[in-house]
Amino acid sequence: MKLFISNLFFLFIFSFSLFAQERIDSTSVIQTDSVKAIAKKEVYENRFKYYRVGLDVSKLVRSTLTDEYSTAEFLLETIYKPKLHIVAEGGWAQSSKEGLARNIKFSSSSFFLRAGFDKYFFGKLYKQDLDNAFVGLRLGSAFLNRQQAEATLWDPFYGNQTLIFEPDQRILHWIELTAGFRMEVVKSIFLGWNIRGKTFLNGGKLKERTPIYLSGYGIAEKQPGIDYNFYLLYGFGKR
Amino acid sequence: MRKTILFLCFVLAAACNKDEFCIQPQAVAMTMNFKTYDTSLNLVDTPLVEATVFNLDTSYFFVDNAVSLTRASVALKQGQSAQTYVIRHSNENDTVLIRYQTDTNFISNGCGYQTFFTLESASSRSSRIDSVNITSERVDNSNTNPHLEIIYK
Repeated sequence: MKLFISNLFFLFIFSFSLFAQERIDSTSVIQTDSVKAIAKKEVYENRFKYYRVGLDVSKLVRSTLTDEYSTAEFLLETIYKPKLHIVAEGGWAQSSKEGLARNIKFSSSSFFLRAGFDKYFFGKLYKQDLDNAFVGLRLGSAFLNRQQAEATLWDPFYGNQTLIFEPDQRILHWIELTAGFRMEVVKSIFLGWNIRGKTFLNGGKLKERTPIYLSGYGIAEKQPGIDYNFYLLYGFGKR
Repeated sequence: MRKTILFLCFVLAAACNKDEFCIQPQAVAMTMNFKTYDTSLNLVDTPLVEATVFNLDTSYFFVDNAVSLTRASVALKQGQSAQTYVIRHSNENDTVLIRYQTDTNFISNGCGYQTFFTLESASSRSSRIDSVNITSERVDNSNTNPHLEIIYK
């Protein structure tokens, strides 16, 4: 009987403690949600107040190492949230397919615009810290202007002929994933690199008479393409 | 350091621009099959003796004095819509007139283009030839069957 009463007593105590715990938990959930709700309404006060402009040094170097194309790329980014940057990129390129060995010959020029965002990984070590790694997404479009093209029409019996294609313009779109790093080497001067994987959204337009280099996309015959950038950046504004 | 070198190797590999190369495309040719009727009126291959086949318009010889010939591959000329071929055997000439349409086919950025053909009609006025039939009107690289049946009397 004593055992029964003691068990009943402990059961009562246990049930009460559980009930009390539930009450505490439910209270804490309500409090946490209300804090989150308030936090969601807060707007990052330094949004669009810090900018970085950058020049892709690798493209300039690559342009000097080949006579097939020359290109330049620029970058503008701003801080939307502490770990989310809005990015816009642009540039132009000229390329030429010439030489006796080529069976399709033409020159082309192109310019591009890319827009997207970078999502940064790490928190700040100190208040002004902007060294970080990121992954990002871009949507790119390029305007391609092709000059008159000459192409070989094979005929091993009666002799090859030359086809002439009139100049042509077209707009290409692609999507790309990127990852990279930014590091402040001296005050407001940053170095950074991007590696990019990209694929055309309307690549069928480039199947024939593909230029060697399409501005913003890179080597146009590589589908999907891989490209990289080494940026020199200058930052300004309120961090 | 090792990671840096690996990364640089990856970047250089990505930067490489592979040169366009071209393995010379297969020639597009129309195949003639020489036939005759046997005693049961079935079509059978007939070998032409000491045969020569050439293009009358371009004087291009496709077969020159073959001992025995049951099939011959000839090239149609791009940029034209008709060609006449001479089939000489047993010291006599037979002519066959072929009419066709052309269309340009993209091979690759390395190779350029080639021409495919669609046969429209084939005829002969030679007294030794009974008829000329188109058995496969599309002349491209995908068809190895004869395109033309030249039936001798």
